[in-house]
Formats: sequence, structure tokens, C-alpha cells
Amino acid sequence: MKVLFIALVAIWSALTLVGVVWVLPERDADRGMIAAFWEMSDLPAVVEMERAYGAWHAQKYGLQPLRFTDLSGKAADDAARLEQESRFRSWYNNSHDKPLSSVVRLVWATDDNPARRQQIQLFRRWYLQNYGEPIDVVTDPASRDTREGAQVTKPVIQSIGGAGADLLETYGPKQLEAMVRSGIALDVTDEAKQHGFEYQRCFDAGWSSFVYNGRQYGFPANVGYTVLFYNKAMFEAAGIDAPTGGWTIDEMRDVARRLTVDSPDIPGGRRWGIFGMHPWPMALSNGGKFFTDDGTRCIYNSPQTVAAFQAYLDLMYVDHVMPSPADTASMAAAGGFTGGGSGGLYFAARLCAMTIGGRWEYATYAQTNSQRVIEPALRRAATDAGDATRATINRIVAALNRDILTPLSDADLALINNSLTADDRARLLRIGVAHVPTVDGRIKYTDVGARVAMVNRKSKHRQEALRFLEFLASKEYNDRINGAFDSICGVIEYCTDASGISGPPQPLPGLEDFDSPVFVQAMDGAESQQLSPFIGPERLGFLAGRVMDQLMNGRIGAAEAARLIEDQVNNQIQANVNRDPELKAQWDELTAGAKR
Amino acid sequence: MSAGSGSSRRRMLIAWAFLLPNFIGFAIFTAGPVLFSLWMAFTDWSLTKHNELTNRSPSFIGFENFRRILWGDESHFFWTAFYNTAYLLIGIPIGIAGSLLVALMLNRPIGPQRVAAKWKGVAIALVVGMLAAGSTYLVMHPGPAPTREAFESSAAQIQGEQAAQVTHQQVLERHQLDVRSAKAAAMLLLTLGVITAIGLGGGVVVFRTIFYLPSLLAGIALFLLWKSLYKPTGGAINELLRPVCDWLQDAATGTPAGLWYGVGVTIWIVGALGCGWLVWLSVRKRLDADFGSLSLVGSALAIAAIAATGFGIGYALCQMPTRSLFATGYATFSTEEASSIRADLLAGETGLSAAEIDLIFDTLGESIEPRLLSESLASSISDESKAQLAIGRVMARATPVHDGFTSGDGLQPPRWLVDERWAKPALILMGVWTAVGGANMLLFLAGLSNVPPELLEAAEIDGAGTWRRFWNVTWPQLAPTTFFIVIMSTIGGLQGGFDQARAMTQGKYGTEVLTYYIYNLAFTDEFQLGLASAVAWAMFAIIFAMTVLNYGLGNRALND
Repeated sequence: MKVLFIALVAIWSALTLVGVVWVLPERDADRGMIAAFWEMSDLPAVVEMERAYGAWHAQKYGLQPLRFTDLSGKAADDAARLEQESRFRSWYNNSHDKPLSSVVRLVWATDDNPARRQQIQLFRRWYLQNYGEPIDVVTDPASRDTREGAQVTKPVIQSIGGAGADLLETYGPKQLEAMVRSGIALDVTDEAKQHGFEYQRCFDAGWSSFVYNGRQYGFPANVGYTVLFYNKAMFEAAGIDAPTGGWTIDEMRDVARRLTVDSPDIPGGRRWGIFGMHPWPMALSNGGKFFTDDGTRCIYNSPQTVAAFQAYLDLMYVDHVMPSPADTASMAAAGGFTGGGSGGLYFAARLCAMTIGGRWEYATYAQTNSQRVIEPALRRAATDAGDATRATINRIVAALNRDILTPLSDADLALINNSLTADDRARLLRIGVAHVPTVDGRIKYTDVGARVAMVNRKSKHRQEALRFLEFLASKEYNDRINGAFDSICGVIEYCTDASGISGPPQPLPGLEDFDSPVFVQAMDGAESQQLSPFIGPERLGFLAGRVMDQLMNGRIGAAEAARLIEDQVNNQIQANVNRDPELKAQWDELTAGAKR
Repeated sequence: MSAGSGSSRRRMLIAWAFLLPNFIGFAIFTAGPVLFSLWMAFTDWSLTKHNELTNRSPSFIGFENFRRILWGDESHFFWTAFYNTAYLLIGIPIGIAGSLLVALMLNRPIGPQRVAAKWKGVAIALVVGMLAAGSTYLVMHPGPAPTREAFESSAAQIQGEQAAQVTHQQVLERHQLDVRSAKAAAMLLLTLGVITAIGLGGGVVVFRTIFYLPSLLAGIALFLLWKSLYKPTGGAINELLRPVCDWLQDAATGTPAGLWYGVGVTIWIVGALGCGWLVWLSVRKRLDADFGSLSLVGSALAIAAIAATGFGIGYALCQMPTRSLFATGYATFSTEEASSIRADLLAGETGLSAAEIDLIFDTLGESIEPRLLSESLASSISDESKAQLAIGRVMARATPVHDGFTSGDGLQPPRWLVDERWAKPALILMGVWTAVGGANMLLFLAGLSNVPPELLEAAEIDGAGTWRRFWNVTWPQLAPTTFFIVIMSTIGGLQGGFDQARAMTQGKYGTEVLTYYIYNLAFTDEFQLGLASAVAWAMFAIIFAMTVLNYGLGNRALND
């Protein structure tokens, strides 16, 4: 028994030791900050730092270190770079009061993707440049909850419990309201004015996502509406002209009919004309209002809403040009596609000719073209090339595989273009962009329009978090957003230049229309979502969502759906008002005013 | 005395030392939160309104939350969730019966007992499995992938837009899919052969293990697997059902409607009689204090399951000849609609004379089914192109319906997880599959091993057949086991359903059970912690009442 006990204690101690020695220190955590020093080697403070480091290095190792500019050009896993990182870390920690491990590290509750990693590195450099000291940001995707666009469960619970991220992320007015009403979102109105990130610099259509009752609660990391992507090759093959300007659902339906193809050779048996139209924005863009202006009553049951709902149903069940929810559930693992419902992935797999999506889908399309066409073409070209060209090709392929959004030089792009044969070009997914059709053909957008970063009131690094919002308003950041197709940037003055949307001069082949004016025009023609103070956004979504599900599955008709939603929402408003004296007083005041 | 007292105290201390960690854990992580939630149920606590950051505290509101959920403004949601939960309980007796059946099958040796015969069986199973797999693969394999030249050559033979719409890449992907299907079918047959071989070699233990495997799978993996099986198109279940539906469609349209109504009504009557007999049996056993293992709740659930199944099948059969089976699945035109279409036909360039159109409408009457109208048009008009034109105009005005089985294209397999009528049965079916070979089967196996063999022998000597021996000896002997299983399954059923709904339907299509409703209230819908706690305690009260009822009646009968 004693032996067993001692053995267990020994194992436990050994495991703890392993954890303490190898796991806890997170040795790579400061690599981004070190890289920021090297990348900002022109800054006077960094020049001085490089000189001091060089002297220390020469004394200790008997030779000068590599130049910072040379180091920043090396790959992250390059042996020489790794060695210098280790030496620099040692020098920095011994020669500064605050070692790198104790530098402020902001936690940003956002998704982790290549674009985000680039933005974080940009922030490290920007902070160094503007505030003269290092800083770090890490993403925390697990603390982000954007399911169905209406719930912020994790951020609310974690933040109230004191374990929330420093920088929170919300989409649209519903989530903003939840964060403000919970007291979690920090009011940044005064700081915004002081440091130049006030909301007036942004597109009006995005304001409702971070301005509440005239107060500012964050700054947009990006903005943008979902537009219509179409496959240019399919349009050309069918002899259909590219859509321009506003167009009606009927016009789009005619096009979709011609592009819907049944063939046993297509995974799933059918290529759909259009994917991703949704009754909610269709109704709002057709002039169907959800609430009265004062929010006291739901008025969704209108001819405009019913007409939009009917147009939506017809696309699926009369014209059969758009997949129904049942069809979509069936498509989820059709050949060539393993995603779970994203129109962008269906579109990339050529399972639909048109889809509704945001500018961020370009990353998916770039990936598709890279994997299916560009990389094989480059590898084919490498077999006949000399050593130098082969090395360049290998570097390009490695860069694309590591991060599809890596900006390539003109020479690299020329090499890619030269590697593509006519057959390769025919296989490229060529993207066209058009406005989302509406029932009456007017250009009008109503869906969520901004991804907003806000500061947690309980953040221990409030000052640094506010500076992050300031960074979001900087030109460097906004250029990067446009360049990485991360929707479009929120600051009007940085969004466009003489050539269109600011960003890289050339993206990968196939990604045409990446700077289409449609993306900016969508912001101009956009309206904010309507909310009512008498019903919570989640309950609203719950009530309407259940009816919408029935509508989308063809269980009920357009008129019945509009009537049910209106009735249920009004009943809920009445129940809420009757239960809450404060709400009742507010409601009585507004309705009395209306009666007068 | 003192030595004894010291020793006793020491033993007590040792016992406490062992118990205390668990007791503290229980107090902090179970009892504490449970009592806290009881307090919450009497408050208006909403996390977004009442928290440290808003500087507002929740108020005590007495039984207001309970009033709201039981007969107030939230009652509709509460009772709907309760109905959904109760509906899913139908699967419990089916699962228990399945577990018992499997346990009975696995309670005796399977396959040959002699070593030579065993090996022979193993060899045959392997050979048959391999032959079946090999031949299936060869039959299903689509051959070599089409080259670009072959693709372009075949595409050139197709004229018009369609030719340019399918890319070589898509053809290759389709080919890969077909190859994967061939491999999967072959692997399935080979696996069946191997399992049979292992079963014949290893005996009943192998089969017990295989049946128990679903219980070892992680829930989410199981749900995703079934979600894939339930896909409306391309899912394994519907691909199997599709030929059955086609056959039914042909059968229904080729036989008199009265036959289907007759069979449907007969099934209703037989089901009702069966349920009545079970009720009578249960009442009689109760009156005779001979309740056996049929506990009250178990009986009720079994009756409900039989009634629901009988009603469902009867309803489906009665629906066969009606509009849900129309080849086109379109709704009936109203008189006004029909008149409008008639005017449309008259005004259009169908080439039909007014007399022809009037004749058709007079023949059909005022309220017209589109399919019948189109058939009539086709049979009345000699000119085929004119008839097609007229049919096209009529059908363009028709409204597709999605009632019963149909999706507008005739009798179709269910849309399972995206259809309000089928989502709950889909979850029940999956639950039964999981439960049949699970812990209940093991409990029944344990119970069966405790049935005294001398009783069975005595019954056999007395001339009792297999069914008599089971009904009069085995089944009563299993009473304590069955009683325990019914109690635990009912509690589990009332508490369960959240994982499935979350992973497979997101609580849509009538799968929002009580636990899901609690989650929604507490963590998404304005974080109404007070209201959610009230629902949790109402659910506890329901479970407690049912368990007490079940236990009191069932246990008394058992003890008697």
C-alpha cells in the first residue's frame, strides 16, 4: 500500500514538474513583440536599441548580430532567426526594467484567422511607433459567441463574472444592446473625441452597431453588407450579361433559372442558380417595417413583407432555383464540399452560380483557386525551371499554404500568371460582384453592418484597450482590412482611393471585382436594424425565428407567416409591458403621445 | 470502555476523513447550487439587468415566476416544451422492449458450440463477406476517371447551355464520390462478414459487446452520425426509403382509395382495441394487486406508444389516396381561382376553343385539383402541344403544398430533422437505437441470470411452451429489474433531450424540450435566471411526482 502511495505521489510530482518546466512558460508568447522591434527598425528608439543589442552581442559572442531588417525578412522557423530571437530575448529581459513576459497582453475575443494574426502584428508595430513601448494582443476565439447573430452568451457571462476578455466583439444593434444593458460595454464617447476615433468618421449605416442612445461604445473593426457574388465563367457560358446596378428578384430569377442545371455529374445532382437569399432582409429591403417608429407595436404584417416572403418561397418551391432548408441540409457533405451551410463554400465548389456573401469570402475563393489551380500550375512550372526559379516557386507555395492572404510582390504575381495555361485560367473561379436583388429593384441593404470591438468595463488594461480602438481608426489598420478582404474598413476617408477600394494592387488570379464599388454603395444605401425597447432582441429572434423556420420549410404561407410574427411579437410586448411598471410607464407615455 | 470509545472515535474520524472530501464537494458543487436555484426561482433575476456592473439587485417576487410558466404569459412556451419532452418519452417503452428482446436473444449460446463447426462457420462467414464485398465493389465502381479529352468529347455532343455548365472538375468529383460509395458498400459488407465470423468464433460475448458499442460512443459523435444519416437527400435512411416510397406511390395510385381508407381505419380500430385491452389488463392487475413489472407509468407509456404508432400508421394510410399522394403535390384550387384560370386560358393563346375549356370545367366541377385538371386536359384535347400549353398555364398558377409526406414531387421520404412532424420521431428513433443495446440490456441480462432455472424446468415439465414460460415465469421474475429500468428511464427521459436538440436541430422543429427551454431562458433570452430556475423546479416537481406515483404503486405491487 505504501509503495502504491509513494508511486502515485512520484507520478503526480513528475507530471507537475513537466508542466511547470515545459508547458507554463509559453516560450513563444513574446515572439510577436520581438518581431515588431525588428520590423520597426527605422524608429529612432529601435535604432538605439539595435545599437545597444549589437554591442552586447559582440561582447558576449564575439561578433555582430544580424541586422534587424535582415531578421524580419527571414521565415519564422529559420534557424538563424530563432537563435537571434533567443539572444535578443535574453538581452532585452536583462537590460529593461520590465521583461517581455510582463508586457501588457490584451485579450481580444475574436476569431483566430490569418487576417486577424496580421492585424495583431500590425497593432504591435503601431503601438511601438505611437507609444514607444511593446504590447501584445492574443485572440480568444472560445470567448466569442455569435451563433445566429443574436446571442452573446459567453461574453456576457464571462464579463459579469470578471473573466471576460479586454476587448469584446459584437455584431449589429441586437448584440450592442445586450452588452450595453448588461453594463459590460465601456462608454468611450469622451475618449473617442479626445483620441480621434469618434463614430462620425465611420459609415452612417454602421453607427447602430456601436452607438446607443447617442453614446459610443466601441469602434468598428470592419463594416460591410453581404452582396451578391456570381460566377463569371458560368454567366459567360450561358451568354448572360453581368448584372449592373439595382435589379429585381424577378430579373434575378430569370437568370437563376438559366443557370440552374440538373446533371448526375454534379455532386448532389443539381447546380443551383442562387443560394442564400433570406426572407428577413428581403422583407425589410422591400419596405416592410418591423416596428412603429416608437417601437410600441410590431407592424411586420404588411403587403411589402408578404410580397417579399412570397418571392422567397417562389425561388425555392415554384422556380426551384434556390435550395430549400432540406436541400441545404442534404448538400452539407456533397462531393467537393464538406462545409456546413456557408454559401461561400457552395459557391467555391461550383454548386451554385450566385450566392449572397460578404467580401471576406474572397479568402475562401483565394484558397480554392490556390489549391485547385495555382499551386498545381506552379509545381508543374517548377519541374522545368532552373534552381533559382524553383526556389522562388517553393517559397510562394509555402507562403500561400501558410497564409493565403500573404501579400505577394509584383514579381511573384507575374511568376504565377506566367505559370497558368489557358486551361488553368478556364478552371479558375472568377468572381463577379453585384447588388443583392430586391423585390422592386431599388438598392437597399438592411442586414448587420459592422463587426465592432468594444472595451470590457472590467478590463484591467482599460487604457491599452482604448488605444486599441484608436488603432482601429488608423490608416494602417484600415488599409490592411481592405487589403485582406476582411470586409471593408469602417473609416470613410480610408475606404476608397482613386482606384476604388484601397488595398493591394493585385490579388491572386481569379479574384476579380475585389474592389468593386458595390461594396461601398451597399453602405450608402443601408438602413439600420429596428429594435424595440419593449421586447428583448433574443426573444424577438426566438419568436420570429420559429415562424421563419416554418415559412422557409414551406409549412406555412407568406401571409400567415407575417401575421403570426406580428401577433406573437405584439402579444409579447403586451406581456412585457404588463409585467414591468417601468416599461409600462414608458409605453403609456409613447402611446398616449401617439394618440394625441 | 474508554479504549473501546477511543477506537470507535478513531474509526469515526477515519470514516469522516474519507467521506469529507466528497461531502464538501457535494455541498459546494451540488447541494449549494440547488438551494441557490430555489432562491432564484422566487426572484426576478435577469443577469443583464441585475449584476455588479448595472448595480441593480434582483427582487423577491414570490410565486410570480411559477404563475407565469404554469398559466401566465410564458405558459405556452412551458407547456409546449413539456409536450415535446413527453412526446419523446414514447421512445422509452420501445427502447425497454427492444432491450429485453436483445437480452433474451443474447442470454443463450449463439452459433455452433463444437470447435470444428465454429471454425467452419468462421471460414464460411469470411468467405461470403469477402465475395459479397468484392462483387459489390466491382459492380458499383464507375470505372476509370474520365480524362479531359473524354470529357470534352462527350460534352461536345450536348448542345446548348447545359454543355458548358458542367466542368471537368465536377465530373471528377462526382467520379470520386461514386468510387467512395463503392468502397463504402464493399467495406460495409466485409465488416458484416467479419463481425459474423468473430461472433461465430467468439460466441455471445462478441454480440453483447457489439450491441453495447453505441453506449460507448460520445454523444456528439453519435448525433453527427445520425444527422448525416437523416439528410433528406443523400442520407442513407432516405435513400433506402426512396424506393419504398416509389412503390407505395405506384400502389396507391393503382388501387382504389377505399382500400387504403379501409386498411387505415382497421389499424386504428385494432390499435384502439389493443390499447383498451392493455388498459383493462393493467386495471385488472392493479385490482388483483398483481401488477407484476408493469408499473403504472410504464403501462401508460406503452399504451401511449402503441396508440401513437397505430394512429400514425392509420393516418398515413388514409392520407395515401388523398392530396398528399398527388404526383405533383399541389393544393386544391378555389372556385375563384378556377374561374380566373379559365379566363386566363380563354384569353391566352392555347388554341383551345371556349367550348372545349367550358366542357373541361363543367366535367370537373367547381373545385378542381390541379392534377386532375391537368389529366383531364391531357385526355380531352387531342392536340398534344395544345394540351401541354394549357397544362403549363394551369400548373404555373398552382400552389405547391408540403403536407404529410409530400414535398411537391409526390410521395417523398421524410425531411426528418428539418420538418416539425418528423424531427421528434427522428430523435426517438435514434434514442431507441442507442438504448436498445445500452445499460438496460445489461440490466436485463443480469436479471435473466437470476431467474431460477428450476422454475423454468418445472414449467417446461408442466407442458408450458416458450411463450408461457416467458410470460408466467421469466417476465414476473424480471419485475424488479423492469421496475428499476422504467423509473430510471422516465427520470432520464424527462431530464434529457437537450444534447440531441442542441446538436441536431438547435431546438427547432418542435424539439425544444424542457431542459432546452431552461437553457434558452437562462443563457440566451435576456439571461432570465429566475424564470429559468422556476422552470427547473417545476420540472423537478413533475419528475418527483411521477416517480413517487410510479414507485408507490409499482413498489407496493412488487412487495405484495
